[in-house]
Amino acid sequence: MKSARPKTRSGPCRVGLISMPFVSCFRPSIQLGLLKSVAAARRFSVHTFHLNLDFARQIGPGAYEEICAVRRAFIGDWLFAGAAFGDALPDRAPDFLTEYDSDIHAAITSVDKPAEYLRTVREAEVPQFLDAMMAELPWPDLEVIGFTSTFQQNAASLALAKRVKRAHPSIVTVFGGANVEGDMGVELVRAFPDIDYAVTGEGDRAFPEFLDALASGRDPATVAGVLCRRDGAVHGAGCRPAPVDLDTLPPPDYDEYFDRAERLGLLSMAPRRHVGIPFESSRGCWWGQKHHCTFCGLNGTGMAFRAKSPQRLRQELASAARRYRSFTFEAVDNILDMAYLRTVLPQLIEAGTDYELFYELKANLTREQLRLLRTAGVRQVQPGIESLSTRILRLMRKGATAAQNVNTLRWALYHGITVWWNLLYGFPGEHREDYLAQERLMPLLAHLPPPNGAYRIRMERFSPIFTDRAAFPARQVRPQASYRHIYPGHVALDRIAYFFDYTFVDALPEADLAGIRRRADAWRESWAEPVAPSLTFHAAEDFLQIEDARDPAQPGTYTFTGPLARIYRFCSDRPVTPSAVRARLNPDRPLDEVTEALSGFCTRGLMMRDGERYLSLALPATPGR
Amino acid sequence: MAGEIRITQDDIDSLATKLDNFSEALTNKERDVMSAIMRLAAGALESPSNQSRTSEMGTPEKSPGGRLSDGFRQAFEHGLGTTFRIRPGGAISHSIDGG
Ligand code: SF4
Repeated sequence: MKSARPKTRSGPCRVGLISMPFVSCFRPSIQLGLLKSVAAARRFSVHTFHLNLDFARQIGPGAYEEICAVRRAFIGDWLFAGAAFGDALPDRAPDFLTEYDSDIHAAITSVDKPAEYLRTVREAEVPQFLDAMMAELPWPDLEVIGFTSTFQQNAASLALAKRVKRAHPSIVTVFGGANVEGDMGVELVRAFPDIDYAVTGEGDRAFPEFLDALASGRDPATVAGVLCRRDGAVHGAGCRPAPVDLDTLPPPDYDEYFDRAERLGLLSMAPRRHVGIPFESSRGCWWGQKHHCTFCGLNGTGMAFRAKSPQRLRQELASAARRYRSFTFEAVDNILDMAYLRTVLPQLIEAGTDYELFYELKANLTREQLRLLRTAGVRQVQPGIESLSTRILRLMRKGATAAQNVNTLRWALYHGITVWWNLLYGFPGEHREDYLAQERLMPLLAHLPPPNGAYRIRMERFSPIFTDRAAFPARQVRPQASYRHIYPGHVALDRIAYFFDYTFVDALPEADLAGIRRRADAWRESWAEPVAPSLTFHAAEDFLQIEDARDPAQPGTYTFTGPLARIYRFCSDRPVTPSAVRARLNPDRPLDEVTEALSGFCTRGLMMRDGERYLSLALPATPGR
Repeated sequence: MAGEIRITQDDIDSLATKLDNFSEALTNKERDVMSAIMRLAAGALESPSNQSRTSEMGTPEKSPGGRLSDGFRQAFEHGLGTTFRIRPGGAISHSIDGG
């Protein structure tokens, strides 16, 4: 293969940044928005093209979003594989549709015959879409096109890159995004000649420097983080750009996303938009820096935690609200900066903003912290709950206990914060009893928001369970099976894959986990009923009634007076030990009597015990205090 | 004022939360020591000079009556709260002042 040395250029080049299917059409790409701003700040002429919007409109946004959300099968890549790889396509027969029949039927519910529908999309809709994009975009005006590729965007991006290179060979193609991290980027550049360059790691500095180099005739391959083929090998691997100071970045530019969504009729013109604006307040993970959760594929080199200054973040939110006429914001951060609990969030309350924010955060939050979050406008959180067993949480190095997780669910519900969470299983060293205990606990939590589902952990590239085989002995580690239906034979799947199939030496088989999956399903179904399960206490001084409608068909009321009423309330804010209860109630009470009382609450399903700690499960009747 | 610390319920709750988290890192023996210190501290806080403090635990228990778990007997009844089956006519003030 000939090397991709650039021609000498003069003056800033014209750049198109493209987001292909499959990534949700309901929000702009922060990667595109940010790169547009950083490149525009260096006087490059940049346009963003959210072509995922066009495809969503063409095949119907309902089915489109369902395909985006599929966890295992990489349906989106399979749909574009024919167009991307042509004769080299590995999967001419409908093997894929047969192998993933159950996943497809479970995931795609908005069309009658999902398998037939997918075949039509692959054979007719995809070529039609690519033809339309080739006809519509101003290719002759562009000198560089950049594709952002995360999860299911590889095949569609490669399909369009191939057509563009055929029709306009002088256009320089560059790939970036999570799919280009580490070995995956090296293999993409090695295997696909339609990719001239890839930018790996943080592109905020590398991408404009790359454009500078192209414009001035310097060799772009000298820029840290830029990969390209040279003399049959990939040049630039292992050289990542240094992390940037987030305050130095300009705000992302989403104007063209909204123009396009409105022009396509996906979003109606209105004075105010209910669209989640992605924003970034931090990168890396402060917890993972100390204890990398065993299943987490956050790149080790991308773990270093940095956050925007409070002032900068507030300015960014305020100007985005004005510019895009939306008050809904979604943080793309891996984890909330705990310092914001003392800075940004109280400042937002003080400023009286009406933002609706989404954040991922660590689950061991207190009642007070959740109240602060809600008052500041945090409406949705993903707290990384993952399990209701402290032992399993230790195995995954999550740094939280089951009781803390339950307490987060309680006070989030109380304060009106929606919680997104999953139950995970399949950890080396887990025991059957760890899950039986969760099965016993789950019906007691019926009044709390249910998990999205119970799933076996996936082995992700960069996660400790993938990289540290000595600590996590696994058999038959191989690229997830769906990749072989997508990529041609010359692609090294073990280098391009992000997900891997595997068998842990000492994790439980699927059959042992049927119970927890069933419980999770039942929990979710009970929340879909017209009357949601509830467990509420009404308190007077020294008097307490707990209304138990966790099974709405068989409600009951518990009445407690005196010390039992006080104990129940004392164990409500956070998980506490019997010694702490006794110290607070009456140091003269024998400890075993206090413990017996706490066990009495547990026996009646009104408290949970987690190791030495007890936690009341009911929520106060008066909301939002 | 020098030598006098004003302690609020929030102070105690926030310290208790931190200690709860911190105790994850302690051995069993160290936890016993911490519990003993907490007991002493609780005793001191509940001394007469601090009696005006109110808390979610209400007034601290002075003399234990029967066994705590006696309170579980007959604590449960089927059903939830009830109200009149007919719709109430208006605010209570209407029936007091005839308005
Ligand atoms: S799972 Fe979340 S908390 Fe754990 S290391 Fe990854 S980003 Fe950090």
